[in-house]
Amino acid sequence: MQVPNSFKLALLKQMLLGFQLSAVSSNSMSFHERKNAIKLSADAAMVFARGSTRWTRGLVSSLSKNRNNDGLLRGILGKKYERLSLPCCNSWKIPRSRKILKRCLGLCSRRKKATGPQHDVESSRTLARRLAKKRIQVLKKLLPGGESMEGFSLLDQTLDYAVSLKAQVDIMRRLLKISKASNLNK
Amino acid sequence: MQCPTAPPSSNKLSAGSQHQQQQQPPPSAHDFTKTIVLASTPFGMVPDGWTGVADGAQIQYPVFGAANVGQANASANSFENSTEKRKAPKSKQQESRRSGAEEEGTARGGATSKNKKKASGSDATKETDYIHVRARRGEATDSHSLAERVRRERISERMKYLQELVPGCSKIMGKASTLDEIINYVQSLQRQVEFLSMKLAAAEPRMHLSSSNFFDREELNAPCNSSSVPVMGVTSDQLKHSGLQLASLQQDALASCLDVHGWSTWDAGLHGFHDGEIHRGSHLCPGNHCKVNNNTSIAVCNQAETAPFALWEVSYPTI
Repeated sequence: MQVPNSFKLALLKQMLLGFQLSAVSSNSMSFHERKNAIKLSADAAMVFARGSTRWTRGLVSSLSKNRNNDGLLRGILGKKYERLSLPCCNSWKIPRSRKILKRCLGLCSRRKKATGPQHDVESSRTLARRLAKKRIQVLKKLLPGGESMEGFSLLDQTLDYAVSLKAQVDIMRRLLKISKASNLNK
Repeated sequence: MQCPTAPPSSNKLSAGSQHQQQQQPPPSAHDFTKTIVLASTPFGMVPDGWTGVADGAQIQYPVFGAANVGQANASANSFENSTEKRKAPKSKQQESRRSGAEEEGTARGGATSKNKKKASGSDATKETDYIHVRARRGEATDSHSLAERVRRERISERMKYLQELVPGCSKIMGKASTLDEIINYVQSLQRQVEFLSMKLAAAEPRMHLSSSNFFDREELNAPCNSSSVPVMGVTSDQLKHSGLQLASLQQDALASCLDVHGWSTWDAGLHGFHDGEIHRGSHLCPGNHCKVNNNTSIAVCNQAETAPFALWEVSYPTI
């Protein structure tokens, strides 16, 4: 919907390339291997088509943790692989410093609560804030590379990721339709 | 009333305000008190650029009103120059929300005042070309609060976009619920990818999608527009001559798979290939269904640009 046609085209192309490289059509693969290869191709194609964003890099790093995927990843991403697997600056320092900060703030607020006036009923605002915080934690786990993102960038990347995922699902469904149609015809 | 923040030197505060725009400022606990005091101060009578100076001079704090959304470079050191121009690019949202008046910091020598947002006769500030953030009536004009407000507005803008994206989310009020819906949506999309890859794997050995002569990589590098007619023509010829395993219907269906509007060239190439067997309706017009009238009846919905949720439901009833 908000996705340009070039994105979908690049996605499809790279996905098919990935299918070629991993030879999913051969009968030598088990079902699970084939499914994993297809999924990897689809994800790598999405990364290629999107370019360099934070979730893209997070996805590449999580995909490349498995050594088996390396070959296929490099095949699909080509030159972009090196660029995408560079860690973004201080990506591990930021969450650590935030954890330290939160721990300090948590301690301070706990001390305040202990000594301050006791409220039986929590104000609705803090309750809403707590709920929202829980959701944000869940969202961080969902989003690839989301652990190191905060606030605005988290939402921004979520938007981006959701749109790309939707395009990916779209393309895959159409591919499936084609296969069904061709099978009917044969 | 005590003075919540009375920075000793404006230099420090401006340096701090520079950092404000990158970090998340802690929520000010004294906002309410500030507003009470401010409401009682006269507008426009601000000697030496201090805001909120009442007769009793209860609160004095500098206001660094131009809390730019991280786009401007706050030049922290040139306070004395009141005619300094910070020509940062204005984002659209700021244009629509803010007006031209600004609130200057103290040491910059500009006379400022707390302004109502849309008050007609209350502002006595001078106009410059900065990115302006106007403190609303009854709201603190502290740099912290302003930066925080800007940050909050950016976040709420993103939330609005996300609400538009996720189907059924526009009715939901409340941050936690919308976040909930967003999470459900992303999870469902991820699950669908899994499911579809499973289905494709099940269907794969018969599909021969990985035949090497299907797409030539370099040829489809060019974006698909009217100037790429020869590219598409060559591709279709290649398809023809290389003895493709794919059935003709598959290619056609693949073409329709990619057939978002504007890709007439692709169809032109394949038309010649198929000897005009295929009846193509008005698929070139946006928002129409494209029916491939062959042995099967595939209706590929090309309404890709309209409401995504409708597309979701309508175009894939069989899956």
